[in-house]
Amino acid sequence: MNPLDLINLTNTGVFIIFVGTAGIILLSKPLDKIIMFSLLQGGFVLVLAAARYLDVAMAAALFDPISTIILLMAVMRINDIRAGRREEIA
Amino acid sequence: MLETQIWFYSGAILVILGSLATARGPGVRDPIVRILNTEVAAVGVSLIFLTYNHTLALLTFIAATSIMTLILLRAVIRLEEMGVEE
Repeated sequence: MNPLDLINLTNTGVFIIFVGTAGIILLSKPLDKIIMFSLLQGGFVLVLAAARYLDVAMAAALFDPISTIILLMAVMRINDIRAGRREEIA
Repeated sequence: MLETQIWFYSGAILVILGSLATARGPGVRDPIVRILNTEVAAVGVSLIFLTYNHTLALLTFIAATSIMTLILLRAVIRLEEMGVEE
């Protein structure tokens, strides 16, 4: 059996998904977590394409950046609020 | 056939890992960290939907997950502004 047969869309996508999961769970800073979350979403789109659900892959590719942007804006906003409160206390 | 099994077992592993990390993960005192860990479980459920060819359920779940993230983060920001945390 050719070892290159192991590199197909499903295996690559599942590998990327697990790398993203390990990153999300183990990294501690929220910004690093968001970067690893986009890795997880990229792997998910890859698995959807491997299943030949290209319409669902299109919807996922449309919705994923939206939730990434929402998370980024929330993290920046919460950092601002916490910095302001720390200044108030000091 | 093998591909279907890979999707199903990866989905199950992702659901288990995501729920454990949401309940007792590292740095989970922060609400943002907890919400981000929830997304792992959401991707796992989507992989299980994919195994059983539920296209409509998959589409709806992907859309609903992003809207749910939006609403949860709005609530967290509002609570943080009011100083309810800690």
